[in-house]
Amino acid sequence: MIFICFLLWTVSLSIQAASDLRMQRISGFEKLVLPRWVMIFRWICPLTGLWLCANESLSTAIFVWLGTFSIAAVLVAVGWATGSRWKQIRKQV
Amino acid sequence: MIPDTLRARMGWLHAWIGFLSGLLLVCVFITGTLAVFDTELTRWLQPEVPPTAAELNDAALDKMLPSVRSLLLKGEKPFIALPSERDPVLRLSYHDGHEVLTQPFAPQSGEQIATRQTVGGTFFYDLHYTLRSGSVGITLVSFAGLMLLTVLASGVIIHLKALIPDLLVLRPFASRLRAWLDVHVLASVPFLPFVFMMAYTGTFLHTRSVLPPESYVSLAKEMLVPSPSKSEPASPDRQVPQLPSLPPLLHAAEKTLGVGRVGSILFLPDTILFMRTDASGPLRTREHVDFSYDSRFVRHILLTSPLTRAQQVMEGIHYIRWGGAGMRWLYFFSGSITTIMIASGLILFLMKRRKTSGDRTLFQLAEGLSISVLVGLPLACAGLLWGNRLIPQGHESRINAEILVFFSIWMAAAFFGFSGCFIKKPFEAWKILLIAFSLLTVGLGFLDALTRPGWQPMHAPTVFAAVDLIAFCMGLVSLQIARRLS
Repeated sequence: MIFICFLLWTVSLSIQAASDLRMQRISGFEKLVLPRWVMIFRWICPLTGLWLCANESLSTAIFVWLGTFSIAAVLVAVGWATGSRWKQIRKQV
Repeated sequence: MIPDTLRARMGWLHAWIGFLSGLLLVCVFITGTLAVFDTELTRWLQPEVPPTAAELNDAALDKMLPSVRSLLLKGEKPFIALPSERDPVLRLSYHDGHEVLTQPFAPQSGEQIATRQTVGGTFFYDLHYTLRSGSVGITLVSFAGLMLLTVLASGVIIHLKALIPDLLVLRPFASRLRAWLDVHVLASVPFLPFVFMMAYTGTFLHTRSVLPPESYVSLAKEMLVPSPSKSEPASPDRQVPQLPSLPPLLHAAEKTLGVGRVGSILFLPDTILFMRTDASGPLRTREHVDFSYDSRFVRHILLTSPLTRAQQVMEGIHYIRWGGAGMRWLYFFSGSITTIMIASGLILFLMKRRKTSGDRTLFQLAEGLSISVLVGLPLACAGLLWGNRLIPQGHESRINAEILVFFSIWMAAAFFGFSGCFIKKPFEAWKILLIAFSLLTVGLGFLDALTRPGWQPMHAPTVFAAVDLIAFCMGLVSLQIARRLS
């Protein structure tokens, strides 16, 4: 369950990063335009995660949900930074 | 001239309180993060104990009784930890005032497993909440917890506008100050729920240290004047009653606590306590069923007042012994990243002041202290693991030798760090200690392979593989930081 919730948060935060103008500018992915229907997953994924966690065990649900959010945020930030660095290097080459 | 705004005032508070308490908080968080896996670390530190074992046999419990008796004769309060998901063997343990020292026993036969003596993973647990200084240490750590809450609140006020927009921003290849600031924010904002929760529950557990029932003056006097030892002195003519057969009492206790819910059996001078395992639920109830030494039921203790319930919930959340391996990993990673948050805060504090105050003795002292806790302590932790495997198994006072290795390495690292700062070569000091840490952690897997009986290159994931792999990853990160320092 932890892994699934973590994946859902990763998807949600990745969409958030990809749709955020400041994140696009920082990473050099300015031309990235996501279809509108994808945006809804920013909300659907975390809520699904919360529902799954609560369904499995109410006592651990909030801990797992918040804990996986935190770690997914770090992973997405590191992934985004790596991606932008890779793009920079490719540009220089 | 800095405008006198709430944000500016909070910035000052965040920087200064953060730095002063951060030096202690780094130690608390490093050791606390390690203590999440204290049982597993004890298993790593006793490699002779097999990673798997057969189910518990009732007769095995009675076979341990002579060993229990010998500890009772020494004036200890021994307890038997029953096999669990985290540790498949029986353990006879006692608290020596700092750590819980254990001897493993086979759960099928009750035979003692010949293994090395070690401080075990509870060494980090003791360091985490008492700093090995008893009530003085607990008070210091509790006040550091309060400081952490203050620093967090001021941090949130400073960063309120950019809390959400900056959530995923990381620019490791930007200017050095920008990069560290991003690391600090990234390690803080997503982990705010975790840090608030740990700081609040941790401080709550020791409320009496912060708000003592007696005056602070009498508390300070108590700290200054050493109180007589509370442990019973060993006496050659100590009388210990005949120990009863344990399985019938265990099954009787299970009727009250539930089958499989007894975690340990504690032997007090006049009663035997069958304690509910902390893994059985979110509330750390410490519920127990007591029997006398002639097998009579004495009492069943379960505290249910609102205040004790609140205490049990806080302890349950803080210790997370009930959440399973997945939850422990979540706590471990969250604890590691919170350590990075505090560490990056300390580094930012130094970076911002290096240009203006780099030549001042106070600055050099601050940097020396930072080196001692940020690199010295992890180096000492890695050194303890090396010491455990390299000190001969038959060494007379092995436990003390391990502790000595830990503190010697920490002292040496601190001395090296301070020297580097006072001769104005701080970067060299950082770099050399980081490389030393990398060498110890990257090499830990090889040391494990060479010194663990029955090592195999391909085996199911065990505590050994997990410790070696985590150490290896930490080594690589540390090497990368050292590389970027140049």
